[in-house]
Amino acid sequence: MKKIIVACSGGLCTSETIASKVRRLLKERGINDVEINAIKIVDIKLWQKSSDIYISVSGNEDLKYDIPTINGIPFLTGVGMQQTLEELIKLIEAP
Amino acid sequence: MQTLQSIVNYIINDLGSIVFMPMIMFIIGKIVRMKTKDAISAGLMLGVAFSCVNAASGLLSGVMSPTLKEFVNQTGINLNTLDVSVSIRAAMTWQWPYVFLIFPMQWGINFLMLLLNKTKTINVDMWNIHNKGFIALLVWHITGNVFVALGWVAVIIVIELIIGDTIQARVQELCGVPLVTVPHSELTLCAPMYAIDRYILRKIPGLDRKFDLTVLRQKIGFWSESHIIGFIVGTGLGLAARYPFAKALGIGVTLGSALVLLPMTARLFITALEPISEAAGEFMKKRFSNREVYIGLDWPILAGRNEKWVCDAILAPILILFAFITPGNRTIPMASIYVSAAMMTAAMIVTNANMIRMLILGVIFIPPSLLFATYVAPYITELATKMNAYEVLEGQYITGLGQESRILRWGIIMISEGKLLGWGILAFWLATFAIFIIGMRKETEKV
Repeated sequence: MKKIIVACSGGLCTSETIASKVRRLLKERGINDVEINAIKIVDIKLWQKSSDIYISVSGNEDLKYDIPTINGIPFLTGVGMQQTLEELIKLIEAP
Repeated sequence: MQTLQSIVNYIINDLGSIVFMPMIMFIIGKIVRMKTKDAISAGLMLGVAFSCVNAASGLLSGVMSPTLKEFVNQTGINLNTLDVSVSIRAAMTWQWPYVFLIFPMQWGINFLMLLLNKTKTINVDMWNIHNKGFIALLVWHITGNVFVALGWVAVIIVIELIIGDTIQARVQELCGVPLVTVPHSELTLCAPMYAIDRYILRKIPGLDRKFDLTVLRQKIGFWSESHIIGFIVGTGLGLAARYPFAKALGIGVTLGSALVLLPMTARLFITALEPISEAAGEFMKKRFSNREVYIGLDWPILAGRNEKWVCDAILAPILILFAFITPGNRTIPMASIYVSAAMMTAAMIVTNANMIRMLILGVIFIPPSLLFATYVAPYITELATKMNAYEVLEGQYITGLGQESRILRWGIIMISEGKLLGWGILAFWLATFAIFIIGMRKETEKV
């Protein structure tokens, strides 16, 4: 089970919007063994130890985290979404 | 009109939104052509979201209401208004039956403006609906008139789209992502901020220093985590209320828990509502795919900038200080100690991430934010009690410090109350808005 976190400011809207969307997209591709959590940006440190992938919604994120990070903006704009989805799937399927 | 009002009252008071709203959700789901199974799931999820937020809210009010009361008793400091999580406001907004009317308004007005070439922004963000929903709810509560409430929503929708167009170039500069913008009423604060920045702050020499922020931000990171803040504030209040040390610590832990739990539950609203937003967004993007459009997102896309976080952290203790010394203020900052994301985002856009000017703007706008929160608290508290969203003790209030568009909303609320000053505030804001649009476009004109 791969654990993914998406973070936005309030941990409410933007991150959950992406989380819902990604869940749906992955389900369409038959990938169900993932857990996606929408969290607040300030809580990333808290969550990263127990997570495998981080989807960021901030453009040019200055801070580096311990887990592989994917730019999640394409999931919101639709531009480059397929490509980003492939990237994400690759990370999920990696050992 | 009267019948409609009594029907709505029946829904809120007797039937219970926990039953009715999921039904509306199901209908809307079918309208946007969701599969029946998904529509049922979404509807049910809405009801579940209410229950969960209410449970978390109970955790918060259960510990904070008595503590706050004792704090006021012991210290004599009359800060009886608690700044609560936006999750609670979300629970109130989504219980209001009329909130679903905002969806077609948002999309309809946006669509029309795109068609008439009055805007380039497609606003598909969900947060936005909740945001406008809350101000509409307040206006409806004060005036009893849903048309007036929705009328203001229409005005705000147009304003947001204009903001979206105006700041797109600056947003791109700040976050590096092309063709996105932030058409949000949170940024209506940009208008007065811009006027002050341009005509006063920029004239002062020496405010242009660069700082190495990554290190600073990492050091601060710990202090901004929800459970840490909750613990510090809870224990602090507990001690100030002269509770025994162990009890104060317990309060700290419980408050930390509430602050962690609340967003987790409120997020379920989005899980339920996201498919509708998705459907509308896809439709609009396809329809206008042959034009240059800006996708409207929420401000977190700018959250990669360290400037914002560092400023928030520096302003946090200043906010607490001001809460005590600002005359007329009764609000205790809690959920929004990281002063509303939006305030520093607006400042960042206006000053192009110049930290010193951002901090000055922050300090200038903290007192009005506190006073607005205090002013509007009675209404929020009445609604919360009526809708069973939060339980206060006698003489206590709740509010939201991180509320969006404080100046503009203040005007709207006062106008709804029938106060002439409201029109003055609105006029002031509109004047700064005009300055902002013209000035910003000139500054960021693409060569």
